[in-house]
Amino acid sequence: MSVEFPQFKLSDEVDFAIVGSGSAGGILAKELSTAGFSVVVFEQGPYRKSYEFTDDELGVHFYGELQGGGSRANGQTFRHDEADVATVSQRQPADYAQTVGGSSVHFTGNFWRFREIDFVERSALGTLSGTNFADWPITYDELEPYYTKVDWEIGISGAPGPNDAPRSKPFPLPPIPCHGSGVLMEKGAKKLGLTAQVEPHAILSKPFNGRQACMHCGYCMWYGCKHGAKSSTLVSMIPLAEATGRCEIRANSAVFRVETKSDGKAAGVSYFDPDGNERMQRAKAVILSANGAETPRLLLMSSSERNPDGLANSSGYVGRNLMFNAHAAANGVYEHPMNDYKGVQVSRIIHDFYESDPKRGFYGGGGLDARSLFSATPIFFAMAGMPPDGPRWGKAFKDEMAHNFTRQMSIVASTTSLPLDRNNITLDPESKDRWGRPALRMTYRDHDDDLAMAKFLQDRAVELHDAAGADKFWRLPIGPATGSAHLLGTCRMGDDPATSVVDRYHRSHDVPNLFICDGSSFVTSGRGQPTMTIMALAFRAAEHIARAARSNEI
Amino acid sequence: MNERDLSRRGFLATSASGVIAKLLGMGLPAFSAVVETAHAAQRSNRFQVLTPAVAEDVAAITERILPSDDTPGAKEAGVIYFIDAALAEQMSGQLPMVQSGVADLNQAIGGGQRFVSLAAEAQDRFLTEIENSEFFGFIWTLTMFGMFSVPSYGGNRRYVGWELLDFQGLQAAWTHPFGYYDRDINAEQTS
Repeated sequence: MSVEFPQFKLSDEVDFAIVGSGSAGGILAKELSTAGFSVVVFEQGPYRKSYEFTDDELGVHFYGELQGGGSRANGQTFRHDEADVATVSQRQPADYAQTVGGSSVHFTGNFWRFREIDFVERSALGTLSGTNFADWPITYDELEPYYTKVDWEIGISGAPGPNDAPRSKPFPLPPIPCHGSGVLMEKGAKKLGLTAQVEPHAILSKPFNGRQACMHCGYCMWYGCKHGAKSSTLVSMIPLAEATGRCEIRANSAVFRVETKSDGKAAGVSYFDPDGNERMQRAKAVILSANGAETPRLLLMSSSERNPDGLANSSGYVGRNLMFNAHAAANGVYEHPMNDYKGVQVSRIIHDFYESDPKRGFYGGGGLDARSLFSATPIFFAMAGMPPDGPRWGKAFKDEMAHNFTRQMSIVASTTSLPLDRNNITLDPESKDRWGRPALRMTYRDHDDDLAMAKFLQDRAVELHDAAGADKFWRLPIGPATGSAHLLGTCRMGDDPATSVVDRYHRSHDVPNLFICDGSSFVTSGRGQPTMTIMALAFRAAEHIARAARSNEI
Repeated sequence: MNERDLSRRGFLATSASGVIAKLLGMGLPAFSAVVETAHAAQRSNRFQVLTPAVAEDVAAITERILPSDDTPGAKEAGVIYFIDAALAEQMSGQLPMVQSGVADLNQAIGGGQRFVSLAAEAQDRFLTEIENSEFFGFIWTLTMFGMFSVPSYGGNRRYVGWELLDFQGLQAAWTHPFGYYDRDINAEQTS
């Protein structure tokens, strides 16, 4: 049952065609439509509402219900190195949602701001050879008002931590209640002289803006929130955009090309409508917010005689510098049931290792969080949550599962990823997606420093389990990543058109009426949980784009 | 499950299947909880793609992976019905691998015997020999799926899989304390 909204004609030249309805696209749609512009938002997935989300773990997590049917349907391929032939894997490498609201619908809701250092780390530390490590063209101070806008418009719960970057307004909502896993992490941290702090969430701890509070059902990571308490753009932004009467959400519509005019400017987008017919929507300006994997793919698909290497790609940086945030984890089993499947994933984090420290002997920083992870849902737990030294089947296996499920938690590390030429998004020469478009090909091998940082934090995770009194704890193997939900850096922002794709206001250096704003805009990876920064960038970009449009500078 | 249950389920299957299919086709998840049990029952009284013999052997494997004792196992969860449904639908491409896997296993046992007819200890011996094979890995995965997925897929009957783990995943709302360790911490924080 979709909402009634205005339908623009293909022959209408709308003000903005936005590709992607997620963290950035949803915000841009709301900001630009409320500013008086006409907007069509293209989403390749369907328009699901909160009441349509289910707790069906097999369907959602394993059959890719929110991801357009997963690996087989999307045909994404992966390889570690350029010399390899990329293949389709069971779990798709670019782990994002195809549904209105995008990945803000199925993400976990962990919501870190960057700190000042994240924007100027290259200046602070110097160059790192063999990498594209660089400063951002903007600072934390410039982005801070938009972080605060995200807090208050999207709905964020939390409390400040000891080393957080300064904020101009307090959190609008108090923290989500602490879980057993958070209590145990705090206990371990105290013993080790570390500081556990409250995890901020894009999940409502109290009713806010007409939405209800979190019911602690536990289906956050990978699931759509059936209560509407997770602050996705689906529930926080898109209803406001539609209420203007100037925004159309065109779901089940897969864009395959940004069209250009003879003067090189964008003319609109071509897409497959829900029946598979090719259509073209004219627009005065095009905004790509399709995520850090799909945005570069679309630019590469939009190559032409004039732009043989893809649109907006005179720098050759489209698709390059893909960053994930490296991860590591250690699981622990405790004496008593903590039932961490109830409620949100994370309630406490440790940011004592946020900054890079030359004494460690490698670049990097990161955060630790205590979370349910495997013990949030039973299939994932059975598949991947059991200790490596135990039996894999039979009575002892069954009994151990039955004992551990309610008593187990994970401490997860999220770290920096360095921007490298070798890590990128390209078009697969063979594989196609279900629309027949060239499939997304991902090439990725973590930098040694990223894995060293992950290992360093995993050591701390193990110490924390020990200090918290776990009966048993073990490490998950650390190795080169084969995919991620964090898709960053592939159309980086910068002042120099030779080494960046968009300027500091997200305008393409090459195509003046083409804007790009999503995870692809990132210059560095941060320490994990990038959605807050994607959303802040979108609010900031919208302000500049609206100003430019009003003064006829598009 | 007794005879009466079975016939009641048979009745549900014939009378309700059209309505159920229509509701599910409309994608109305609000109805899914209501029709879940009936939908599982609809699938329960005959196999869609497995022959009775192959189903018996595969079921016997799942019952060694998650055996029944004082707590429920794959048998009580009806894992074999999940597997049959999965092989008829999402994983239809794997059906030949399952069929040949069972045939190979029975050939290894030899003497015209089948896996299902062996004693538990002998079954475990043969499974230990193939525990690193693709066939066993696949049946193992389907056993976990069938034990723990929502019952509309045909397994986890009466939620015995979730009960085994003390996972009360049907309750869509909770208040703290959630468990033993957070009994005291939230009182001051959320007041």
